[in-house]
Amino acid sequence: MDKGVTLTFANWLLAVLPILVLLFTILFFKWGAPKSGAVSWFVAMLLGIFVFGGDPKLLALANSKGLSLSLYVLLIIWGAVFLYNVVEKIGAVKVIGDTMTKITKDRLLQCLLMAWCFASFMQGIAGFGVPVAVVAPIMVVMGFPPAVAAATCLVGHSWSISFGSMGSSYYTIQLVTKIPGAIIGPWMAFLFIIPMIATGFSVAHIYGGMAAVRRGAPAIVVTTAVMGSMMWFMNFLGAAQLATLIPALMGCATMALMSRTSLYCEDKSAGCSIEDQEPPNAMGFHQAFVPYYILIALSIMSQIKGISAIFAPLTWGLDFPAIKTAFGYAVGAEKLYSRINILSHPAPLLVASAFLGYLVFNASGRWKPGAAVSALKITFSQCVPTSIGILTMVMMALIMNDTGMTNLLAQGMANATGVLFPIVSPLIGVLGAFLTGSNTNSNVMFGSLQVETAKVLGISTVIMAAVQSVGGSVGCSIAPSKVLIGTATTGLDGRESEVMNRTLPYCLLITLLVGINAWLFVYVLFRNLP
Amino acid sequence: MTEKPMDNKPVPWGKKYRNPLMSAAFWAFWIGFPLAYLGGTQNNSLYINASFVLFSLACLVPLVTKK
Repeated sequence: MDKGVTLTFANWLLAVLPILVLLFTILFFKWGAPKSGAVSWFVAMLLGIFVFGGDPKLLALANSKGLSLSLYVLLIIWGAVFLYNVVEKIGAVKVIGDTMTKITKDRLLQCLLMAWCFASFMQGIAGFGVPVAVVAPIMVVMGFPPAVAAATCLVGHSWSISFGSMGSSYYTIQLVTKIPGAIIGPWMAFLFIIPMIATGFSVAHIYGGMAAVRRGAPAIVVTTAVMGSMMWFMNFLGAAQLATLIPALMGCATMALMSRTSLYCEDKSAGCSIEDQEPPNAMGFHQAFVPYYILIALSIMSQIKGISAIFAPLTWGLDFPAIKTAFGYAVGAEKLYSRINILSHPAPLLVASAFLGYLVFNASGRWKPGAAVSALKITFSQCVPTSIGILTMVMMALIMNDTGMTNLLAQGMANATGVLFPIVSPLIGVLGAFLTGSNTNSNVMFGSLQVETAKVLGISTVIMAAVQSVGGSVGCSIAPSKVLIGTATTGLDGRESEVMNRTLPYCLLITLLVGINAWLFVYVLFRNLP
Repeated sequence: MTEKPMDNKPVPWGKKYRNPLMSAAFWAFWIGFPLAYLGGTQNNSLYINASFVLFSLACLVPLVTKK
């Protein structure tokens, strides 16, 4: 490893050029991820050949590594979006949402439940803007001001993105940094405690200022304790793809329990929840939730050693030879790169859940003919542009990696920031999410840069990789693409800056707290962690 | 009865064909994938060049089409 182009300011600028092009086209030309990703890929290819000494063979291998990695992530995204669309088509998402709105009469708890817990649950099952698109309009119907609904949803679910969408961002950070999930997962869960509690307090503050923060504190602290420990436990179990879904669901349940305590329900004789007459044949919450119950059961089953051993041979991955640039930057050989196992990868579990869910709904007469085909068509049209954005950016990132650009960038970053790097590090994740609207894309763009910089500085690569993903998650609350979803679904078209101004201070404050936490971890508490 | 004025503005081709072109670009990446891998591992310049052509065409699609 190492060698490559010498670190000079001009070379560093050239190495950062693909990322600058990406930043510039998104910020100033307002291009989407596929367009910006495509032009950055061209720039990375040209720089790889003419400046960093990559030959066609090296670039072909870097591109196919990028495609292997994208395949892994895209299968999860397509599977999660397909399952969500199937459930939505048969009306189960509406039933789940309606159930949540009736849990409590307390306005503050309603706000916390919807924006902090339920939106995170939606992130767990779908992601890609669905939490804001689904929850914010429901909150408006419940009587919350549109700007509050949009801002609380954006900030409230920003703790849940890395493990959401069946863990697509979590798997990405593993793939780009080559740190096993069993190591990075629990550390991510640990680092997410601060964003988790801070987003809860932020939601309360947006809703009703310091008075709401004080009144909501017991519910926020108790719910954070439940959700934080569940997030860590799901990682400990090896079921990180559920480390948003289960904690968020438990958070909803905790909120429901808290709403029945004397803190939030003074007159219990009048009832603490909203009573509503339902038609006799209406779908119940548990029935609506069947596909996700199946998914949870399958995910836990997949972690049982006896079962996983049976499916262990059913693994696919490509072997890559060692390569070297003309300047001597060497990348080692890879065995079963970005391996996909039929049981440990979330996509087969998602498809199986959709199929078993179909059997249950069909048996109970709730299946709508054509729902699967319709869901498939919607999934395709939703996912193709997202996929092209991810493909181009991942390929660009791998070209930068294998030609030594990322390594050069990291050396420059380490020289410039020194011991303050852990504080700056989550801001890099936020920047990636702000630009691309995606925690996954942010991890692709900056994951290896963070790890390489950590190596140069001699600090924990595990913590810095985890901090990248945490920053990427928090940064989604200010991503223009997500803010646009919030304003479009709450009738605030053209008032994006109003929503952004509400979310920005909370995002920056949480990022700073994460940075200080990371600094304490790498320089004080866990100095010997690899 | 008054007739609604017809909007005769032609739809630009980049907008009209965006969806099929984006789908084609998506598949072009996956066709180029085995070519890039085999070209890289077997040092086959025909496969490598074919994959570069496919990737470049696929990357051109989002640049020349409009939402």
